[in-house]
Amino acid sequence: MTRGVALCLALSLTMLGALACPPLRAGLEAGMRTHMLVQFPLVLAAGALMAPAMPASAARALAKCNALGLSGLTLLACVLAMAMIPRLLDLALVDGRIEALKFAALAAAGAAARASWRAAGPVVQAFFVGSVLPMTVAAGSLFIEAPVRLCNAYLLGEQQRLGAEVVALATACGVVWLAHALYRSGANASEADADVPAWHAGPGRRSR
Amino acid sequence: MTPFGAPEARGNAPMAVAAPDASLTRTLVAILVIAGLAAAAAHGLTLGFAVWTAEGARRLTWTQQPTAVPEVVVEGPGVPAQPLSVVLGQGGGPVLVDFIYTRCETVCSAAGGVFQQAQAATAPSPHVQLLSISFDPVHDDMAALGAYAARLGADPAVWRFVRVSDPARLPKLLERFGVTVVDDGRGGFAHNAALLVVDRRARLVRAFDFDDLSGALRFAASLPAAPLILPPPAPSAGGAP
Repeated sequence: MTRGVALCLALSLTMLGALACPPLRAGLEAGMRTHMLVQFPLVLAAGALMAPAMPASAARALAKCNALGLSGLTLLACVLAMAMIPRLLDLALVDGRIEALKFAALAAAGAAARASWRAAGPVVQAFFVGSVLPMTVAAGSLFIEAPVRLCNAYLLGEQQRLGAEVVALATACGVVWLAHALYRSGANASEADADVPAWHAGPGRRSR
Repeated sequence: MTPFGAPEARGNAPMAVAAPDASLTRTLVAILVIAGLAAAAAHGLTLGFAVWTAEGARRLTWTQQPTAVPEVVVEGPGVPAQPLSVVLGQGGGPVLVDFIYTRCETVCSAAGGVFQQAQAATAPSPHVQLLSISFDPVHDDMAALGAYAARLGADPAVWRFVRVSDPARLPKLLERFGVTVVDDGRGGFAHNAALLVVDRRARLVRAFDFDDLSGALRFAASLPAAPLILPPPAPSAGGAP
């Protein structure tokens, strides 16, 4: 294990420990917005930091089941979908087992994302982004529109603000991914630009 | 299960550039396993894809499985300290229960209005009793509860008000009733208010929205009432069912 990997592992474990400890955990979970928009991403990030420290044999075994990053992105999509079910937030507050499962699932999803994103390539990434982000926007819209509190532990005004922020975050993620994908495809295709595309009739192409 | 686990001839997919060892068959199996686990977890979390919120889960759970009220001692104006189940059983029929705190200006006022309507609807024949339980036992002493009852014009024969005698037992009471109380940031409390129906055996059987009083009353009226405590006092009567 290189020094950088060891450092990342240490950072990841420190993050998870701190996030699971009562003061920080209760503080972040006191609000719906910090629960979903701060705690969830931090646990995902801790999982992603941990991935390179996995034993090489295990990484090889997992990679065999992860062609094009499909399995890892499936896990990430499933965990993100579950994380948007309002009952999960309420249950995590009162049931330690659910809380532990939530942490484990989010960390695993973060690690899976790290192990799968590059391998996925632009097409699979586009499929993932195109299905998960609209789902997220739909959930955020529900949080905005719901006339009643969806979580017993959180207030209506906060739920509506969270909904707007979730929609904004999903939109931003989509824009950033699209910009990045276009930039990369542009970099790859710049030499090919000189000629007229094959489907075009001319000029510069022989007539039929 | 489908025989996806059977290894196929074309193991190494030519497309999998980044991980040449990756097999599409294994990947398909892994995806199915992940999706199956996720579906099972979601099934559990949503009680069979029926509810998405803790409030929905509370209501569905009681509908399927009546839940006994916890053993806590309550007291109130005209109600000496005694177990909640005893207070609930005194009318011999179902009881509509709500949770209140007397300083409340918002939901509980609406709740008070709903219970006023319920009292008017049930007063001619008090088959259905009403009970308001305070979750603010420190502030809501006998005087506060009495003043609140008077303000709402409660008829003590139909509608009574109690608090837990020992505030340390309040979390137990709230947990069993599925009531979550949070600070609303304006000096009051927000809580998942509902019309809770308790049957004559002091079991939670259903919860209704506050704007569905008629539904709650209709359901409560359909529950068996009486002869638990009002059997004809025949000399040889053993005990009513």
